[in-house]
This record gives sequence, structure tokens and C-alpha cells, in this order.
Amino acid sequence: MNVLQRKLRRDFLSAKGMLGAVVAIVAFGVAALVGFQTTTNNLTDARDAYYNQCRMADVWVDLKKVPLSALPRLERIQGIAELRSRISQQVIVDLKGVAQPIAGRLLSMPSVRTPVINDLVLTAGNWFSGNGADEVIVSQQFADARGLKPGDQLHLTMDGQRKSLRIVGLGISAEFVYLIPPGGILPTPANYGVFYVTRHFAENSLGMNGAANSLVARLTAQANQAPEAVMQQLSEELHPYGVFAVTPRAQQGSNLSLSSELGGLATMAAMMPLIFLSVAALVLNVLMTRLAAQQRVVVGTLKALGYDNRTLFAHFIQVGLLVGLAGGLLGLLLGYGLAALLTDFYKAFFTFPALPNQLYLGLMLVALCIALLFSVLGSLRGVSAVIKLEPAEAMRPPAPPAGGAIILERWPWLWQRVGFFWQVALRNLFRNRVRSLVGIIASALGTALLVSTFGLTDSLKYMVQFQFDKVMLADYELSFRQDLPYDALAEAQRLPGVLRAEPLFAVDATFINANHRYQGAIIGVTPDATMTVPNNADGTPAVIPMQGLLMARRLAKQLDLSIGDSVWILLSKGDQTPLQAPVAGFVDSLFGLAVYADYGYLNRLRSESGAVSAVRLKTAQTAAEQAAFLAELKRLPTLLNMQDMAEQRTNMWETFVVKMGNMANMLILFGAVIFFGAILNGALISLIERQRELATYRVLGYHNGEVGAMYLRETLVLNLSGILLGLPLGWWMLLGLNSEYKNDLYMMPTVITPGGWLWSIGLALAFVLIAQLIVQHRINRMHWNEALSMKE
Amino acid sequence: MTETAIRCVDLHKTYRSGDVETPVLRGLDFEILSGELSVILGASGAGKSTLLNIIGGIDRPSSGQVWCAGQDLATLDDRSLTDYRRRNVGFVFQFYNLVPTLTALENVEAATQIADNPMDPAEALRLVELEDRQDYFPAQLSGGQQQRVSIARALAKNPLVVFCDEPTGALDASTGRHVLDLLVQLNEQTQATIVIVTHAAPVAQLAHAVLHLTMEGISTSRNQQRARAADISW
Repeated sequence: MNVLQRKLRRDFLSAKGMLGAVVAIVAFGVAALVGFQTTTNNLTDARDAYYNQCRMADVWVDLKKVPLSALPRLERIQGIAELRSRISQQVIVDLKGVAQPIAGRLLSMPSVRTPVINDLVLTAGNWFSGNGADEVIVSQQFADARGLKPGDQLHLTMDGQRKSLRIVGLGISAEFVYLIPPGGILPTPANYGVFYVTRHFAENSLGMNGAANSLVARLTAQANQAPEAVMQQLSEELHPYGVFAVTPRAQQGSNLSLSSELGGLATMAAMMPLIFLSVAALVLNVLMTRLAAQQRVVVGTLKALGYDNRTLFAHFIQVGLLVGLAGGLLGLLLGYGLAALLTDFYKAFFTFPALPNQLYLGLMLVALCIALLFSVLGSLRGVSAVIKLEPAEAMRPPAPPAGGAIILERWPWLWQRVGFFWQVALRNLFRNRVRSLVGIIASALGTALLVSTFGLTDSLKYMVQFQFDKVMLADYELSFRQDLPYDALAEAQRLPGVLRAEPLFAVDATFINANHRYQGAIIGVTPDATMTVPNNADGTPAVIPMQGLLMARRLAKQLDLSIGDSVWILLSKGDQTPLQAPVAGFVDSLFGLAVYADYGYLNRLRSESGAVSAVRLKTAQTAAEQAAFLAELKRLPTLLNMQDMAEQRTNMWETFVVKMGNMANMLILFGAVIFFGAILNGALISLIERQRELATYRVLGYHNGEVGAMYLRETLVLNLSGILLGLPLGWWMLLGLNSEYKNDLYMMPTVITPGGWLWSIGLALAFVLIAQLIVQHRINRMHWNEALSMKE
Repeated sequence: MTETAIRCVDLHKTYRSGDVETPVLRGLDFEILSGELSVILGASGAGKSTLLNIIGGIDRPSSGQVWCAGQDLATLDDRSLTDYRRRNVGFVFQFYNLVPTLTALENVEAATQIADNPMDPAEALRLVELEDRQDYFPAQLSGGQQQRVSIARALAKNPLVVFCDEPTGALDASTGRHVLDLLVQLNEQTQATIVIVTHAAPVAQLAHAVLHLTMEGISTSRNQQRARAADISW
């Protein structure tokens, strides 16, 4: 080890506190990059592998019933590589020991295992035996949640008939990475399952012999670039058979949710490391300037002894490189751990055959290089300033710090008013502009991170409360397999413990305006409805017009419609003549892209009267009444689905608020590190630089606390400015983040409660004060009487 | 009869570094009288600065007593020592120790802000003939001017004692003589007790009393006739 290296090692040790803080910031920056990016890659890789394994479809067609003889013609459509027909049906599951009816989806599979589009991955048990009569393969999530295993029996009510089936296997499919019940936005593994039966069994049980009601297709690579043409052609060819929906993969529920999540993750993966590494570079800049200034005389002497600039430059830049390397390596470890946590977190939402936390060496190498680059950039300025000096100049002590009035002194009336100690604090801040700016930026970013984290939890809470306190005021919703006459309402009213029942008439429809189209539904609501109240995002109720449609503003924007415009509607069921209806109002709904209409108006539009597709119930039930209520529902042949709102609310709260809360805590930790690192670093550097000044105050008779208070004033000015800037910045970051999560299923409202603001400010101040405590501790322990006789 | 400003009894100071003990002050007994200009004279390593630090309340003796303002400094804790400095002591350092971000006037204010019975800071600057430089920052002042600001800062709190640690050490001879002359004058005008610590023997000729500090101990002599600052050189 040569002399310079030994010197480097000692310099490093003597500044270990400050360097440690920078290393931590760099490490967390790298960890954020590696953690979020690895998670994104993990999910993307798992998805791609899964989609390949299951031969995921490119296009889905739901229709009433198509004879298999019509299919060969479809296969010849240009762009279709492969087509598979199947039978799909909503069913009700009756489990022994479970009171309520559970909704499920029945899908047909070939009796003999062959690789097909939207294939299954068997996770337990076997494929069907023979023609598979009375055999079922159950989606694994549901089986896990309900403790089912191969060999168990269950009952499905399909098309009004109760069937007893034996579970032969458990499986998952790429179609249902994100498995949500119709109308839901979150996976409810215990209350929604997919049940795979043989084609033969499905045809026989559902009266679908030689026919299908669901098509899945894979397109050629070329057609996949723009699947609209193929979709249009499919839609036209299948028109006589009652097409409900033609969905490209991009719009498929499960894939859409996964893509939206990956989008949000990508934003985080870009934003977080950028914040951390920028702060690290700024702090390192300040620190290196300081270290180099301290080494001024040494540099001069070494130059006088004959060391050339290159050697010295390399020597100093090594400090930056070592910080980058230490922070980088630590960050890689932390990041890999973070990715493990995050990836595990996503397992609660998304189901893959395997979602391993992988090691991406290329990514790690890039992350390490970025850390080194940022660290070297950060130290460059400080180092070059010292290297540039002539040896003779460098060996002289630096010129005394420049004096002069600061800008605030131009307003004497203000300057005189602030008092002596504040004058001192303000002067110091304005004299060290770069450092003050770094302090403000770091504290603004730290605050912004806290605000957006608390805001995220607040927004999620708001979303859940909004849905269940404002929009969905019922206790239960029963939806029916087909539209029922108005009598169904009275029947529902007679169920045990029901206080009030209100009808809903929902019609699946495709909205078309010029070349924009959207497949959705119109929900018909009676004027006196108390359990279905469309609300704007700000909580004000939206009035459903007697004529025309009340449309989600986001949908109207998507379809390029203004109030008063007419929109073409293709109803999926019944008469398929295109209809026209005016857009009478907008609603800023959070969930779905809803379209509401008056109950009577929608009935007239469909040439019906008093059709009921669902009822919402308000109940006041004793335990016995509830049991009787659920038992009756299980026997109801017309029932398609029963939603228990209290259960949904709990599920949503658990998922959104509790699980997201854990993620938020992690972000708070990140915020704390930024804050702490930057504040502490600034304060410690300043302490060393001003050792002599502090000693002077001590010898003049200032107590430790009074010297600390002089620091506190500076810290407060810096950080209060930073916090003030950080509040709007955090709001803006949250807006950006929430807009990434916007999709057809839901829109994240951006809400920060007073509590959220207060927590952010409170925590930010707490971090500032803890850093101040450390500074005070250093002041108390300082050997100030030695500093006094130091030569400058 | 002049009052005693500072009285030390059997004063010892030993520095410890690991197992090595280095005795610096070995049983000193002496007095410094109020209103006088005293010089503590000693060669390098004799323990001048250590002694000054102890009677100035910056450091504590290993044993013995240090009486000033009615209290034994050796028994005071850190807080009380700070209060002692705050109320009773002014310091002038070799390297001035002015706060670079404060103007001349504000540097004086830094002392008067926390004193019980201070002078008007502008008045203190007038005493050192720097009234026209009061808004200058240290970087804009010469070494001699900076040292005068530091003297004004020491005097402005109306302390019992002003301690000067090699006050001319960083100055050229002529400027140094000017600073010493100022200290003599201020001692006469304000009756402030001034203690100068120096290794430069000629400075002792200015003092009322000279305390000779050697490795063996301390001895006091009085000047019957004091020289003028203009007449000495070192």
C-alpha cells in the first residue's frame, strides 16, 4: 500500500460519520432502482412465461350461442392463427358448511389433455378421466381459500340445476392471473372460483350440444399489431349469433390489471432512484468540496513534492468511487431483498405458476455503474477546485471567507426586526448557497415522499369509504341469470330480514361514437333509489336524468362525447338494432366506466317494462334470519351472484388499506433515510467547518444549548422551507402515481386528509429534531478549547 | 489596598494519555490584583496556555484551588464554568477568533447579547478606534484591526478580567506594539484587570506585575517603572 492509499484510508476513517450518511443515501437509491426494477422484471418474466405456457389468447368473444359448424369459416379470417370454442357459464357454488351461495364461473376444457388456447396449469391432482362426467378441476386460489383438495365433492347450480361434482385436480390459468368476480375490483379467493369441466359435460348440462358461447383466438404476429380489423370481422361474422363482447388482450380484465400495476411499478422504479441518487450526488458534492478544502495544504505540499495532477486527481476521486462502490454494493443487497418483499407482496394479488425473485446481473451492473457515476459526478467539483491550485497558493491558508451583506439586508426594516441570532442564522444560510439549496431540496424531496405515501393510504381509504358509504349503500346485491319480471322485487322483499329491496336493470351494451367504441353496460336505476346513488369523486351525488344517459366523464372523454351529443348503442341482448340516446350528464365515478339511466327510460329503450336484472337489499337480520336468508338464496334457481357488501368492504379494506399500508411504511423508511442522511450530513459538515466559531461562542460564555440553538435556527429555516416546498411536490407526485393506476376498473382519487398532511409534517419535523439531537450531542462533546488555538 | 482578582493555591495540572502522565503545572501559588495589567511570561512548553485556560474557566485543574469572583473554579461544573466566563471573563486570542459571518459591530454584540451589564457595542468599538469600521466583516479588516475588534469584544461585557493569549503573536512588530499600547491605555481608562500571556520577554516591561512561569514553578515580580509600548521590541 503506498502512502497516498494509506492517507486515503485514514481520511475515510476520520470522516466516517458523514461518508456513512452518503453511503446510506446512495445505497437506498440503488436499492430503490434494483428493488423496483427487479420486481417489474420478475412480474414481466413470470407473465410472459405463463402466457406462453398457457397459450394465452389474443382475442376473446362472448356470445349467446354459436353452432360449431360456423367455426371453420371464422378460422379462415385473415389474421386468425388458431381458434378455440368453449362453453362458459356463471354458476353458483354450494359448499358444505358454508352458509352463503358463492359465485363461480364454469369453463369447458377438452376431455383429453391437449395443449389448447388458454390452457390450464395443473397444480394438484389429475386431468379428467374418460369423458369426465361429474368431474371438476377447481381454480387453485379458491380451493386454497376454502380448504378443498382433489377427491372432495362440491355442488354447482348451473342453469338452475344442481349438480354434484368430484374434484379431480386443481389448476390455474393465464386468463386469471388477476381473478376477480364480475363487477368486482379485487380478488376474493374464497368467494369466487373458476370451475373447469369437460366439454362433453358442459354441453349436456347446459343444453349446448354442438354449440359454444365463448371463443378464444390467437392471432398471427402481424394481425396482433392492430387486432381491431380482425375483431371487427369476427364481430360481423358472428352477428347472427348474438355477440356480447369482443375483447382484445389489452382490454382483458386480468391482463389489464396486471399491465396497469406494471405501469405504476415502472413509474416508481424510475422516480424513487432518481430522487435518491440526485440527493446523494448533491450531498456528495458538498462533502467532497469540504474534504478537498480540508486537504488544501496537503495537496499544495504534495504538488510541491512533485506529485502530478493526475495522481492527485485519481487519489481524490477514489473517495467518490469508494462511496459509490460501498453504497452501490450495499444497495444491490438491499435492493434484492426489497425485490423479494415486493414480489411476495404481489403474490397476494396475482397468481402465477411461479413468481421467483430473480437475479438480474445486467440490471445490477447498470445500477452499480449509475451509483459510481453519480458519486464521481458529485465529487468532481470539489476535487477539481483543489487540484487546479498552484502549489504555492494551495500551501497558503485559503482567503478568509468573503464577507458582505446578504440580500435580506437590503430591507433594513425587516433585517433589524429579525433579531441578532436570526441574523446570524440567515447570514450563514445565504453565505453557503449551494449547501443550503441542497438541504432545502433534500428536505423537500423527503417531505414529498412522506406526503405521497400518507396520501396513497388516504386515497385508498377514501376509495373504499366512497364506494361503501356513498355509492353502494345496500347490504346485499342479488343478480339474476336473466332479466326477471317486476315480481322478482316483491319476492326479494319477502326474503327473511329484508327491510327494503330496490330493482336494478343492467344492460350490456357497446357505445359507439364515430370511430370510438366501448363495451360496457347501462344501469337502470329507479328515481326513488336509496341504495344506488351515483356519486361524483368529490362526494356530491349525481342526478340521473329522466331522459338520456348519465355517463362517467372518463368514458365520455374516451368516446369524445359532450353533454347533448347522441351516442349509438348496440345492446348485447335482445333486439340488436342500433339505438341512439343523448348524453344528458356526467358523473366522475371512481369505479368502472359506469353509464346510468332512469329505470323506466332504459326499459322503454329495450321495449320492456319492469325488467329486473338485479336487486339491492337493505336488511336487519338476526343470526337465524340470516341463515334462513342464505339458505333460501342457495335454492334460488334464478340467482347468478350474491354480493355481501360487508364482506366486500372488509376484503377491500384488508387488501387496499392494510397491505398497502405495509408498503407505505417501507416508503416512509426511504423518506427517513433521505431526510436523515441529508440533514445530518449538512449539519455535521457545518459543525466541522465552524468548529472554531463554535468554540469562540463557547468561550464567550454561550452554553451548549445556546450554541445548539444557533444551529437549530438554521436547520429550521432550511427544513421548514424544504417542507413547505415538499407539500405541493408530494401532492403532485401522488397525482402522477395515481394516474398510472387509472384503468377501466377504477380510478385512484387523489386525497390527502388533514391527518395525512399533519403526519407528513410531524414526521418530517421529528426527523429534523432527531438530527438536531445528534448535532447537539456532538456540540456537547466537542473539544472546543483545543479548537481555539488552532491556526487557520 | 488593591483587591485580589484571582488567587491560585497549590495548582496542579497533569495531562493523561493512556498510561503516560505529563505534569504541566506543579503546585502554583500566586495572585493577580484587580485593575492591574499583569503579564504571565514563560518559554514554550512552560504551561502558559494551560494556566490561562484554567484561570479563564476553559479548563479545570487536576488539583488545587482557583479563586475568582468569590468562587473556586476547580469545583465548578461545566455549566457553572460557562456562567463564570459569561459574567466575568473576556478573551483575546492570538488568531482573533472572530466570527467570519458577523460584522465588527456584530462580533462585539455576540458578547454583549448574553452579558449582564455590557457596554454599548458601538462604544466598545470607539474605545479601540474602529467606530468607522463597524459594518466591516472580518475578511475586510487587517490583522491588527481584527485584533482590536477582538479586544473590543472582550471589554464590551465589562468583565472582571480580560485574558490575552499571545495577542501579538500573529501580528508584525509595529501593529503588535499598537495593540499592546491599546491594552495599556484601556487598562488605565477602564481600570479593567488585564492578563497577558506571552513568551516575548520585552512585553513584560509594560506590566504592573510579571508572573514568571517555568517548569519549576511560578514567581511574581513587580515593575517599579513600566515601559511604553512604543519603546519595546521583540
